Amino acid sequence: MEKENLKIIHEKNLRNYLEKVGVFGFVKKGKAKCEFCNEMVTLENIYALFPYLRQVKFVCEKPTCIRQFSIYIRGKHYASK
Amino acid sequence: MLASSVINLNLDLTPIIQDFISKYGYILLCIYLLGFLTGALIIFYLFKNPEKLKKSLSYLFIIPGKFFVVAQKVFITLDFEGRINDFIKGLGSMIYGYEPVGIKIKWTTSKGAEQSFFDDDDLVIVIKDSGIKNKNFVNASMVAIAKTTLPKTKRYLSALQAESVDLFIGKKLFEKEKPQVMDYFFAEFFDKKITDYPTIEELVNKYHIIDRAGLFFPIFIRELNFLGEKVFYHAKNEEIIQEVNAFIDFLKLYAEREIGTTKTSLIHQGRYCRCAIVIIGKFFNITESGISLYREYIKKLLAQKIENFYIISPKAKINLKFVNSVLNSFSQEELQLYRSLPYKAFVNIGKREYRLMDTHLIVLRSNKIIRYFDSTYQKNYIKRPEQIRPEANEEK
Repeated sequence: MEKENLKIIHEKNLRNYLEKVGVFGFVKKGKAKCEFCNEMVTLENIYALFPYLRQVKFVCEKPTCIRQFSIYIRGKHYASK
Repeated sequence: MLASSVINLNLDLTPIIQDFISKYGYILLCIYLLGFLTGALIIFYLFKNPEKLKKSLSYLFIIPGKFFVVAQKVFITLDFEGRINDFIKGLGSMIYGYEPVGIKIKWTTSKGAEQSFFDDDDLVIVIKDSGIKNKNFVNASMVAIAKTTLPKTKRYLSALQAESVDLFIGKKLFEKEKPQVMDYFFAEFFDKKITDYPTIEELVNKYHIIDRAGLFFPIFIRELNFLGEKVFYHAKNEEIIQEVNAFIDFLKLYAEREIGTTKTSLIHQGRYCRCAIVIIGKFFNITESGISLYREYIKKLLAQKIENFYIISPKAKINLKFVNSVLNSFSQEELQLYRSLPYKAFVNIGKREYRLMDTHLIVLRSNKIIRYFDSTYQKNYIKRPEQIRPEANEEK
């Protein structure tokens, strides 16, 4: 069976990860916004992050945002094939 | 001293053991062989089904996972890969011609993240240590379903159609693999989402009716998969979206059809989806003259450019034998056998009363399929099913 990678990170490694990607301060200051609902993303409510035009985009853990994120993935995933 | 006592013991025990072996030796040997064979079969089965092995192994890491992050990561990897891939693999066996795509969990760390995050161009999901139990599994599964199921077809569906299909597949995944997450899933995903969008609610309700008749995966998802192959690389258009809606309505009507009624149409003739449901059930039809009757009927449908035939019959040997006779009356150039599988269906027996019945589905496909893109290109891109023509026997 063919397999797709699903990249995940443990929340214990998240702070270091965000620091390396260069957005920890941004999140800490409350400037990070969910790409779909535009609400503030914190270390507690972050669901996912993804790159877009060399920028880091955030998704919060609201189910509606996860669903919209899935729609985005479907489009992007197909285009990358 | 010790040696002599052992010798004495041997001397004392040997006749008893010999006597026991002579009396019960064969039984002991049988038990030993049976145990060995069972063990070997279990190992072979798990080896052939690594997803099930992962699911079983994941239980070993539940308690250590509460204390150690490493064990928690192992648990999550085994649990997610085992359950999601086992479900997706099951779809592959139900939907012939569909090549299932599973997931591989890739833990990422901060090492080299500054480069790899942008180079990989992939999303990263955050797994929480605290909060609602099972939230991680549901949230990750929904993304996995979006990524892996029917990627070709979903490109041509409307956002609501694609989303409703994902939600319904998610529901089936959680029902089968982790019923304990259903509460969270319904509360957070299903209810909110279907309240937000009435069309999704309507579509999901239709899928439920189609699934109750056992046709969601074997017919609906299979047709969507065929559709994805046929219109591959064409622009998304409203015609396809409307046709999928019409096909959903066609299947819903069939699923609600009262047994024996002749009022419901059994043929769906769209531009892209062209299929017919052929019911072989009436006893008086299952005769020698019945073979030519069904043969003529299928020939007529082939002339109307019907491409897929779903032959449904009660799961009885006489019917399967009859189906084989009908199938064998066609040449391999005309029709090919795609799938033969037993399934359970709730059938409307009248007065809106449904009864669970053992049923059998046989999928035949015409060899004259209309595709809407360059034929040379399609040959390179799409694998043809094996040119096999096995007997339509019940699948083991």
